[in-house]
Amino acid sequence: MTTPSFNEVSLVQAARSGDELAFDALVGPLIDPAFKLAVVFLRDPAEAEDAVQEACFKAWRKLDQLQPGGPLRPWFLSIVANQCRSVRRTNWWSEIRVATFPDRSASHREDIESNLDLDSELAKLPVTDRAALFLFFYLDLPMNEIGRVLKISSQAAKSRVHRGVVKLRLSMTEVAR
Amino acid sequence: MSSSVRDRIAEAFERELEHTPVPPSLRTQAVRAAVHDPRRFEPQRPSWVLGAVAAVLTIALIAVLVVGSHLLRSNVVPSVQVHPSPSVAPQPLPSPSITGAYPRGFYPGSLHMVSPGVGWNGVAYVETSDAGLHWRVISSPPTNSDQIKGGFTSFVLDATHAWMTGATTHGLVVTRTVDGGHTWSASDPLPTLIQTTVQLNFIDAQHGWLVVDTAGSASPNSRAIFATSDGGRRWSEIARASESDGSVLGRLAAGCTPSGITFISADYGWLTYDCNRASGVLSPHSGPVAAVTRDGGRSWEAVPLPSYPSGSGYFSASPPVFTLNNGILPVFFGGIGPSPWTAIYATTDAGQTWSFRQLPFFAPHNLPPHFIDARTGWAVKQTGPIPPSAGVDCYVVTCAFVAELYGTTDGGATWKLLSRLVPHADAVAFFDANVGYYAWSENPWLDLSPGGIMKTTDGGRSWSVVRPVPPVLEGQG
Repeated sequence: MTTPSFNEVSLVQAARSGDELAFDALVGPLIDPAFKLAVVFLRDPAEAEDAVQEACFKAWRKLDQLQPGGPLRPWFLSIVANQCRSVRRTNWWSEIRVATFPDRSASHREDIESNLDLDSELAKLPVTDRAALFLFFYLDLPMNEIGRVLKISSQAAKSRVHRGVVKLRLSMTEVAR
Repeated sequence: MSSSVRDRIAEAFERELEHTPVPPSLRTQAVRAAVHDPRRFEPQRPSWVLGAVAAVLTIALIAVLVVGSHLLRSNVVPSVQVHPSPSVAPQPLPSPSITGAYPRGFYPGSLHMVSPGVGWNGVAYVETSDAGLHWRVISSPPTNSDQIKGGFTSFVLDATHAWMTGATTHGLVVTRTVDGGHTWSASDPLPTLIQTTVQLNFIDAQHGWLVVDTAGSASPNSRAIFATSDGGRRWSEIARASESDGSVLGRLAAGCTPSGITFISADYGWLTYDCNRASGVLSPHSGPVAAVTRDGGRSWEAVPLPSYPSGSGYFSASPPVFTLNNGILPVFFGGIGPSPWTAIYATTDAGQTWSFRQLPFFAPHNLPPHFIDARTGWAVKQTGPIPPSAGVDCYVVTCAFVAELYGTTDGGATWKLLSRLVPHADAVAFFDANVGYYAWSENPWLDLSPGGIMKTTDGGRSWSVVRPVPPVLEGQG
């Protein structure tokens, strides 16, 4: 079990007592990855922002449920992921959003063309696979933390990451043909 | 798995996220909104309750479908009386009468006493008629029907005057009370964008200032300062700047978290910011930032502060305390990992020059040194967790936290141990050099104390328990 420093214990104690700065010190550094995770889930910056705000409020109310010694990052990111799933359930009838890419300068066109296939294949992946790939490749989270965030076992997280990679590789191969 | 695959996928996400940057104000806004969200007063429903409700609704839906299909089959159309749905009026926050224990969401640590029997808990006046044993919320401000998230802050001047801000669809609204929270009235909306952090300060019942920092992904960071001279009924914009216009006010601590606005007179005031580059804030600075105005907030000048021991943690700066030319600016450095420290910037020439004084002990940033003037202050050193026996894990058993209260009468140059107290502290607030309160919240995880308040009348050397819990371990004269 990861043992938090006295500072972290003090911060959790202070946050649970109502201290805003302590809560900011705990959760603030996670806002950036949380927002990006929400964008990966929802593909809408405005909805991602709302999801992070709501997740923050839920984290604040759930501080009592934070297991002493339990790592903060997967705990908070799992709240964000839950909130995103809830938003997606609410919007199940809405059209699927696809990330839009603005025009870029001609000097970057070659790079774009070489990356476009990967970008489009990544965008087509199911959101659960995208989230697993994002947590593993972009945020560099270990499998056990990915499992906690996505509410699955470490082994299932590993399978999901591998499945995503395989899908991308197959898709890219197919496109190359 | 090859590293090129890792890099390519990471870069693909980078490209996708490149066009959706993290809103600069999201951290401040999300944390502040979470802490001050009125829903925190609502009781939390256990998950099994939600499950039970869902099951009941499912059964009811099935029953309706079965009955409906039966009626259709029998070709009987029941007459249905339609009632107009009532308009949904905004519900005021609950005003519970508190007996015996603090309600959920009522933190003694957030209590700011404005008279012996009246306090301000950040969103409402609360009062006690039995020296703190029982508390009652006097009244909470009404909720605007067009209220939206963000823009919240509050300022309490005394037992009768308090102000709160909140974002609405029409702009920022300042709600005020002049009778201790019994009635509230709202200003006209101020023309500001909604993604804001707001700082509010009054020097008396009439003269106040409002600093609104706006940070949006689509526009540069901007800052507007409003002033009122009629108690908050009308506000006029006295300064506006953006990060891109090159002005001092626009560039000042851009993207950083405001930590306070403090006016000492109608002309002379201070702005302070916490800039924490380590936490991802897009700021060229790292550390506290202070700026002064000498023309009532129309123009501001950044004040260079002496260097401090560097590190990769985060900073916080408390609003400065001034008496004439003497000033104190408590600052804190901390974070998970590096050794934290607490220090004081002090000035004796109205902020022209500052000295840096590191405290001989660490005072946690949720309890910054508390000064009533530029010389007289208190600070709490917390030690712990102390397990009841060696080798026992404090995550398994309850461990003690001991707080030591120190005092200074020379602006933080020297500190003297005044008393040693058992409960972890949440707030230390003094009215003058003698009378003060020490508050702590219920925290069953740490020490099983139910939360309470102690009072001193001798500057912190001895304490009497306002709430019936046994907190005083040892006093030193």
